[in-house]
Amino acid sequence: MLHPVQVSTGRIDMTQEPQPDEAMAALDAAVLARYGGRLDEDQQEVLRQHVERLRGAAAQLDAHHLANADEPDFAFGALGQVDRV
Amino acid sequence: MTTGIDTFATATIADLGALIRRGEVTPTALARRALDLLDTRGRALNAVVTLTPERALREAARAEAELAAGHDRGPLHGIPYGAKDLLATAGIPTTWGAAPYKDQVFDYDATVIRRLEQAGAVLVAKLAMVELAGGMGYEQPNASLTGPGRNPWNPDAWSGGSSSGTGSAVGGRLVPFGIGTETQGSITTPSGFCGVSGLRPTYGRVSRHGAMALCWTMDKIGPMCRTAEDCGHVLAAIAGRDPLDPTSADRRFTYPPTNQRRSGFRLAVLAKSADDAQPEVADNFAASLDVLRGLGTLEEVELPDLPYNAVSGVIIPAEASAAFDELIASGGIAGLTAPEDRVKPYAYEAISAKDYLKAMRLRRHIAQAIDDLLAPFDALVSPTLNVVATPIDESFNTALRRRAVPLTAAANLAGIPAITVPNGFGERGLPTSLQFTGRAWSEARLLAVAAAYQERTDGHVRLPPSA
Repeated sequence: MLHPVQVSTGRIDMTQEPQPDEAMAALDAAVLARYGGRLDEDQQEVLRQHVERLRGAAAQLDAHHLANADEPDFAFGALGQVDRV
Repeated sequence: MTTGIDTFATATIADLGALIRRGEVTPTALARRALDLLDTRGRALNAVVTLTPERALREAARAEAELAAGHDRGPLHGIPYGAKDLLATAGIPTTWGAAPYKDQVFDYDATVIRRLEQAGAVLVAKLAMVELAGGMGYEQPNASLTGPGRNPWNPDAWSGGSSSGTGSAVGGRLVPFGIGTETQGSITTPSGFCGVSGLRPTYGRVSRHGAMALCWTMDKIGPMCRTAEDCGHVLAAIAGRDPLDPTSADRRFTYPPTNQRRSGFRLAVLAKSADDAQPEVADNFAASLDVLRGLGTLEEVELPDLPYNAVSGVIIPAEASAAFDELIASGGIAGLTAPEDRVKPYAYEAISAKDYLKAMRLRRHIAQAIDDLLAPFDALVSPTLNVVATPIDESFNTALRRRAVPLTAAANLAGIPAITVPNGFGERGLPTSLQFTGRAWSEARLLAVAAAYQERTDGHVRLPPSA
């Protein structure tokens, strides 16, 4: 799913798989659209670098295969301790 | 003539307890000494947020009355301590180390504070910390409401973070023990930098109720003390199931155990863990291994090749951005001290739900792989850090990241315990340290190994110049 900002900028061809650079630029745009007005140019550059760093960390995860049955390492539990019959 | 109070800087919890019970010092005298030291040296080290004299003197007087009446609450009865300022304390400010929360006051005590009160301990101060426990991405020491944490061994060096005040205050011998918290390195780093014995418990060992949440699935609370044995006494007081924290485990922890081993340990040594270390760190680690050979066997092991830093690098900012959504979205982070903390949290929105879930799915593999690695051993030995405390006015990013011991992210993702103990000194007169990491719920075994190591070494009894 594309972020609404990516769609509105018209920079992404939705019929094509976004390239990594395009995806990064779109993410930058999304974050800057929301918060950029609060930041000066130097801060915006720090923000871009940190988005890139976080995307880099996320991309590293993609190198590891996970099976369908691999569940996240937390478990939801329904409340209540007594069976009702 | 030496009096009981004169041993304040050197005594263990057990020593102080014996002095109290022999009538050689009173809890009130101990509390007053701690308050005085914190108000002078502690403030000079930027270690103090709030002193709590009214509560301290009330708890100390109660301890005196109870002990006089024969009601003994155990080893912590009458012992003063400080708590990292992210633990709620009724009617006393809890700032989370951050200017936007400087006036925050809760009307209840965190479970850890309440349990320490029940154990008879005396709260003397809320101790400084890195703002919001470092979760906003700080890169240098000046990232706190109270200024950069200064190291008691060399005030031009950093105390470490995020439990900076606890490290300075315990390392500076201003309080017998303190409470710190760790998401990833926040107990072990200031302990290592300040020459403190610090225990990061298993995730779920200690209730998080009343503690600031940074990363719900990784936050832990633990003791920072003068010795491993002291850590055991404090952990026994704060551990256990709490209905107010559903992740707290229903497991008993008592200390000391009835049959604590002193030797015959099977120890793993993390391969290449000191390869990038400063020379003194590497030398002291080698000397520590020589001592440990007298306690058991050593076998070299390697960490499985998994993306530890990438996984924690997704999970922590994702949870932090949710925990502090209101502060970030409102622009309130502009009020934080560190310039980088005013910007980097906005980037956290670049992490998708899928990224987070993928990281949490990989985390289970990591936990299994680490448990498989540790299962045959009593503890895994490594340097805590490959550097001594970094200069107070410099970014620590390069030094700490370039020379990082990869175990920190792996162990915190796996939620497993570790204890850090001092093992010598490095450049600029600053402490170096050794870390024992174990399987989940193995705190008693880790404490046994660490206590046996401390019986044969003196790093933990050396005093900083100011003490």
